[in-house]
Amino acid sequence: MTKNVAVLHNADATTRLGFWLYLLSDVMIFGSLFATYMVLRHNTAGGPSIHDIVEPSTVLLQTIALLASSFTAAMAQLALRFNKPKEFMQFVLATFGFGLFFLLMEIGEFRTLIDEGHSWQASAFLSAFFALVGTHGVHIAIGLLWLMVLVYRLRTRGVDDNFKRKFGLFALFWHFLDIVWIWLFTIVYMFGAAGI
Amino acid sequence: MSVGKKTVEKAFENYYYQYALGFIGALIITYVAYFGAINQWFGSLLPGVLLALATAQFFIQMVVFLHLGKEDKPRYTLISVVYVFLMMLIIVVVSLWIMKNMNYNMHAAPEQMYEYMLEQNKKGF
Repeated sequence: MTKNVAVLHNADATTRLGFWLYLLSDVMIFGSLFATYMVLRHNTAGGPSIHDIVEPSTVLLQTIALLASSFTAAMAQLALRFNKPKEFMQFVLATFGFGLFFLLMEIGEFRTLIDEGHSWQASAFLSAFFALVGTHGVHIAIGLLWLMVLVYRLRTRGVDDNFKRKFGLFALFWHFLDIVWIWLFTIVYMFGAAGI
Repeated sequence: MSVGKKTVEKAFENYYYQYALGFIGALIITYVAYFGAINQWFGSLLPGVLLALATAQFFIQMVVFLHLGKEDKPRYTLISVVYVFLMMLIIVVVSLWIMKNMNYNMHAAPEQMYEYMLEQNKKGF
């Protein structure tokens, strides 16, 4: 019996499980924001609806950038595991570049909306929209900061098991944000573009 | 020694192909959803198709990039993920359900509401 209630194999597995639990608490946050958005999406108070403000081609570019970023993060982790430092740095740079591109496009989208007078104060729909998309954007910004800290640590202390574990957690975080974006892309942007 | 190195390269390539395939699959699904949405394909089925595509991509990402379900037993991560997503779905779906009915039921004028309450009282507790 005690054999089945086994402790986790090592420190790595314990850390990863802990980080997963954090990600799952984030799932609840995003779930609540999605529910709020879906309830309020037609309450535009005479202002623009999602169909008026969505620019499908911009969103498609953002999505491709984030998917590519997630892929290069996975490749970076692979390169780290198989001791390929040169490839690792290239993939990390690509991950950072795609992530930054995504974030800048999102900030651009927000700026355009606010400049046109459609800020989060304009309607219940826009409040929910900014809260949902903005929360995801803040996560991306924190992820980019995290990646910079990791690269700094690599430069000062080199690669060890500790670093490999830390980078694994970052990759987990990054893939998770990609998954959240799939639902944003579908429920906010594609439903909006199709006028559903 | 050289054989060992070859095996390592092989393992690296296997992962690489797996990730590349996952990435390409995700791109294809994204494009189908995109062109489906802007060209209004699938008619009235469009919302369902978009949600199905998102679900498919969700599972691809979960398995390919997050390696879900590939951990050794006991599968604490898998159990936690299934449990939390179930809870999240309940929160989202039931919130939508309640709010929909609330909008429907909140149209009563005060007098109508009063009548309704009297009617309910007649039924007894």
